[in-house]
Order: sequence, then structure tokens, then C-alpha cells
Amino acid sequence: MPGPGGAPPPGPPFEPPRTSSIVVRGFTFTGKLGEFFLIFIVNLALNIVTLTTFRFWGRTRVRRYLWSQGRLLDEPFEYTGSGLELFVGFVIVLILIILPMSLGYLVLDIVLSNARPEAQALLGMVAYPFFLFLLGVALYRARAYRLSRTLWRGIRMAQTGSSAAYGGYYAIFLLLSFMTLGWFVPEKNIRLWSILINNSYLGSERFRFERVTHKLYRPFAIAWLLCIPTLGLSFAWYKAAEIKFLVGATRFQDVELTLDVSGGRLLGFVLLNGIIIVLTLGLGGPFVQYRTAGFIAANLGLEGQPQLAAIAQSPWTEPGVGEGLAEAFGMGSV
Amino acid sequence: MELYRGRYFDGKTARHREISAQVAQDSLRIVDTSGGPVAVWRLDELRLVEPVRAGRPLRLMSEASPGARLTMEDTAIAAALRAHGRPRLRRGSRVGRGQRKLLAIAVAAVLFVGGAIAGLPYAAGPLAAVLPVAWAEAMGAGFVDSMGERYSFCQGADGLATLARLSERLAATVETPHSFKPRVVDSPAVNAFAAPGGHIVLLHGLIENAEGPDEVAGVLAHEMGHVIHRHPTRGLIRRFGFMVVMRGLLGGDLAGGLGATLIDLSYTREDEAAADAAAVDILRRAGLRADGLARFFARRSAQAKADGKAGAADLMVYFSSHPSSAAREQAVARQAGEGGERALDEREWKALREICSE
Repeated sequence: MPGPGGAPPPGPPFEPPRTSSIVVRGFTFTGKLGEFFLIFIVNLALNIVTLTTFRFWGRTRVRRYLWSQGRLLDEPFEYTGSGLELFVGFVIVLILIILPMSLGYLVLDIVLSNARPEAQALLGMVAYPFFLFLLGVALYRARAYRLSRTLWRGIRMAQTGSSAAYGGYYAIFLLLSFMTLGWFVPEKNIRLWSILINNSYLGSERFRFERVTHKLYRPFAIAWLLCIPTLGLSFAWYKAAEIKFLVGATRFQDVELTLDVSGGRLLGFVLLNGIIIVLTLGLGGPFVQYRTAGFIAANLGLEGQPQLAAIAQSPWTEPGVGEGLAEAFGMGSV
Repeated sequence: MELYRGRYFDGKTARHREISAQVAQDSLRIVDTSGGPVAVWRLDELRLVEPVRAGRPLRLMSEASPGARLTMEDTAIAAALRAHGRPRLRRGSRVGRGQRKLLAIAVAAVLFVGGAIAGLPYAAGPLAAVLPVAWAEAMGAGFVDSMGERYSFCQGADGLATLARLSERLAATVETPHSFKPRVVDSPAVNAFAAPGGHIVLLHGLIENAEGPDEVAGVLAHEMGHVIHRHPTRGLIRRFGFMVVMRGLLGGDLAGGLGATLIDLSYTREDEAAADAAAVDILRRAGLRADGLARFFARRSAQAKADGKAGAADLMVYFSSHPSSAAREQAVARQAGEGGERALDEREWKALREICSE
């Protein structure tokens, strides 16, 4: 999806920009389930025939449809990525990173199999954070690729910044979250989001995360305390507060974003997604993406008008291929 | 000529211009609201940004200026384009993106992975030859230990001492970086195998089935032959490599489930012949009778034939991982010749047979 951090600007038939205090439903989704199902079923058949090798092209077909049906201020997005780019990105990562790492790990495992338990524990202590680091790198790079393949009004989006730095923060913040029994999670999510947003561009214009003091620890404490009696469902209300804060602190030019969603609605949305995934034995992932587009359209608001003339074409070079590392972690479908 | 209203994006800024488009003989003329020219796109360079969908605007671009976009809310223009010989428009979002270079990389990568899978059997031998013996020993120890999860190792002190003496006597005849570590597993199956780095496992069923210590000594020497030629290491490298590549491609846990592979490792006839030759050589140098292996083979294949169905599965185990043939049996018998001492005396042989009783 173009994401909740998507771009603003107005299309043609819009009110004169007098005051910026009116919140408009700036994002609409015009997808039709019948059209989407056709894409899904063809992908499924080709994935079976090709032993899932088609997944790179299938994912591209899904995105092209979802992007083109998402309209921001009446103008649709465009997805310009290709299956070949995803495939090559994956094969490069497979050859240069996954295979050497797997072999190295295997050799270490064998050599250490007779070693003392302390040596094995040490390997785990190094390998686990490194794994988290790589996961962060993968997520960052995948997002960079998706933004670079997203066009709106002919203007490319982009994500700058260092994926290694993001991966480092990702690993450290996650470890801190474990060590604090989850109490670092609000800080972690705010800090990671601010890195993503502050490095995101539509053309020449950057998105900004304007951090204001937050009151997330109150809903977090309630959710944390009620976690066990509610089987973790209490976190839906925390998550709703968090999303509301994160999106609300995001700016593009003078445009402010809002995402007004209650914990109950978020819970309903997530539970139905889970049911879809379970009932389709995991094959229904694209329908979750479809529903996410609809969910954003129903809840995202814009306050203010972008200055379209000030948005010049993106000066950032596009990555040639993408998402290999994310695919290697089985996260390519996000 | 009919005018169709739409929005034009020049790809330089996000601003659009309200335009009218006109389908001429071989071009699409785009003019602004006051009639001023905006762009002229040749029809044969025209591309669809998205497939045409009912109720959604038509989105167009030109190969000649891949950054610009045209959004036509008035989709009646599609009919006009069809009338001008553009019944089908190709999609073209990725014009000028260097797809050829990518395709070349993709082909090269597929060849590389394919080559790695195909070349692995050939590379495994040289790799096994250079793998440090200490690593091979650690690898083998891991597998043999993992057998202990399902079976128990026999602990008879006299039997173990006897086996160690026999193994040392045999090993003293060859120069090899490996030190041999034979063990007996309490299992009724008639089988034996070698793991990387000199680990040798005899299943107790094989000792019970043997008619005399020379047969056991023959099998032990045969497994030592496999170790000397590094067959288990080579086989495991082959298996690992393939699994790593396939699991990498299809996704999955890379370390699990390798232990079982050791037992299903099968060798080629050439491998078996090499191990046989080494076994006979070892036995003769050690001054032992070398016909035990040949007798064991002959008896086993006769039993297997005679037994037919009943118990055949159990009897065939040894041969499924150690392919045999009449020719191989004759070769072993010929090489073995006559003479030599018995491998063990009666007391030692009894200790070995009762190794699992303690």
C-alpha cells in the first residue's frame, strides 16, 4: 500500500485553499473484489505450476492493482515495479548473503557441536541480534524499494537514509523491549517510525515527523496490565492510540494527517484478517492487503492543501532491484 | 475532430494541467484549455499505464517521454484510439528501466544456482579431501551422538576393550590422519556405517548374525576403508550442499533434520569396491584372515534370496546402503586369498558378542 505515510496534494475539483482547518477524506480506494479475485486466482494457479517461483510476478500484479485503485485527492497512484526486479533482488541476496551465511552457520554449528555449552551460548548471543539487525535492514530496504516504485501525479516517492543504521536501531530497540518486558515498545515504535518518515520523500519534498510529547504510556499500561485476562486483545486499544499519534505527528508541507480509529474497530479489522489467513491456510494474504487499503481509505484524513507546484520530480536515484532480503526472511509479501 | 478532457502531468512537478486531447491520423495532440499546444504523442509510442477498467479513468503515457502521464476521465477516447488502429495498447510503466540488464543478471543467477546444484557432486570429493580432519571428526561425532537419542550405545567393558584392540591392530597398518572410534549400537538390524572423521558404528544385529569374528573384522575394515577414502564426508557435503541450496530457494530452516541423512547415505559401486580393496589390504597387512568379508557377503546374499519375503526388509538393510553384486563378492574373495590368523580368540569373541548385555 502507499501506506499511511502516503502523500497529500489536491486533484482538480477541489475547494479553494482558504483555511486549512477542514479535515478531508483525502484517500479513496476504488478496488472491486471481483477484479482483485481474478488477479488472485491467476496468481495462485501460476504459483502452483511454477512451484512458487511466480510469486515475484504475482506480488507485482497485486500491487499494481492496489496502487492504481488507491486515489489520493482524486488522482490514482501508480506502481512501476516489476516481477523481474524482485526476482533478481532475491537471487542476488540468496547467492551473496543467504548461502554463505547458511554454510558458515552450519560449519560453526558442526565445529561447536562438541564444544563447551558456553561457546554454543555465545554463538547464539551473537547470532540472534545479528538476525534482528538483518531483519531491520530487510524491512528498510523493502520499503525503500516500494516507495521508489510508487508514483503519484507523475512524481516518484523515495526513501533515503542508511538501512544499516535502521537495522542497528531495530535490533537494539527490540532487545530493549524484551529486556523491559515490553515497556520500551512505545518508544521503539515512535523512534522507528520517525526514522522512516523523516527519510521519506514525495519528489523533492520530504515528510516530517513532528514529535510532540505523547501520552502513550497510559494506554500502554492499561493494555499491559489487562494483557493476560484479555489474552492480549487489550493491545488493540493501545495500538489504535499509537497509530493515531504516529500518523497525527506526520506532516507533508503544511498538510497534517489524521487517522481516527478506535481500538474496537482496529480489533475487528485485525481479527477478521486473522480469520481470513487461517481459513485460506495462509493463501489469503493479498485479501488482507486489499482490506488494509480499504481500512486506510475509511480512516485517513488530510488537513490542509499541498503546494503541488513546489513538488518537483524526485532527485533520488532509484534502487535497481528490490526486496531480496525481505523475501529471504519470508516477509516479501508485506 | 472530437476533444476529450483530461489531466496532463509533465513529470517535472506534481502540478497538472487541464487539457483536451485529440486523436489525429498518427498522433495524440494534447492542448490546454485555451488551445495552446502541450504535447504531441505519436500513436505508435502510446502506452497504457494501467489496464483499462470499467468506471476508472484511462491512464496513458508515451515511450518518447516516459516521465509524463495523461489521466483521461473521459474514457470515450479509448474507442477513438481503437478506430485509429490502436486496438490494443501495451502497458509501459517500466519503459527505459534497463530490463535487459536485469534479464541478463537473472539468467546468470539461474545458471549459477543451477550450476551449483549440478556441480556439487563433482566438487564434493575435492572439498572432502581438503576439509580438516578435526572438522570432519566434530561433524561425525555430532551425528553419532544424535543416534544416541534413539538407540543406546553398548557399554560392555570387555567387549569395548576387545573392539578397541581389534581396531587399533587394523589401524596400525595404514597411514591416515584419522583415528578410528568404533562403537556398537544396541539394535537388532544387520548394518554398519562410517561417519566423517573415523567414527564407525556397528549395529549389534550384525555381530549376532556374523559366523565368527573374521566377518566382523572384515566389515570393520571395510568401514575403515570408507573413512580412509573420505566417502562419508563427501556424501554429507553433497547432501548438505543440495539441502542448503534448496532450502535457501524455497525457504526454510537450514540446520534441522540433517542427522538422519547419515544412515541413508548410499555409496556407488566404485566406492564399495575401493572400500573392499582397502579392507582386504588392511586385514592382510595386519596378518589376519581376509576371507571373512567375502564370507559375510556370500552368506548375506544367500540369506536374502532364501528368505524371500519374511524378514527380507531387515536382511536387505545392509545391502541397500552397501550395494552388492556377484562380481563384487568374487573380487573380494579373489583378493582375500588364503591364510592369516583369526581376528579374535574365543574369549574375546564372546566378550564382543555380549557387549550389549551389561
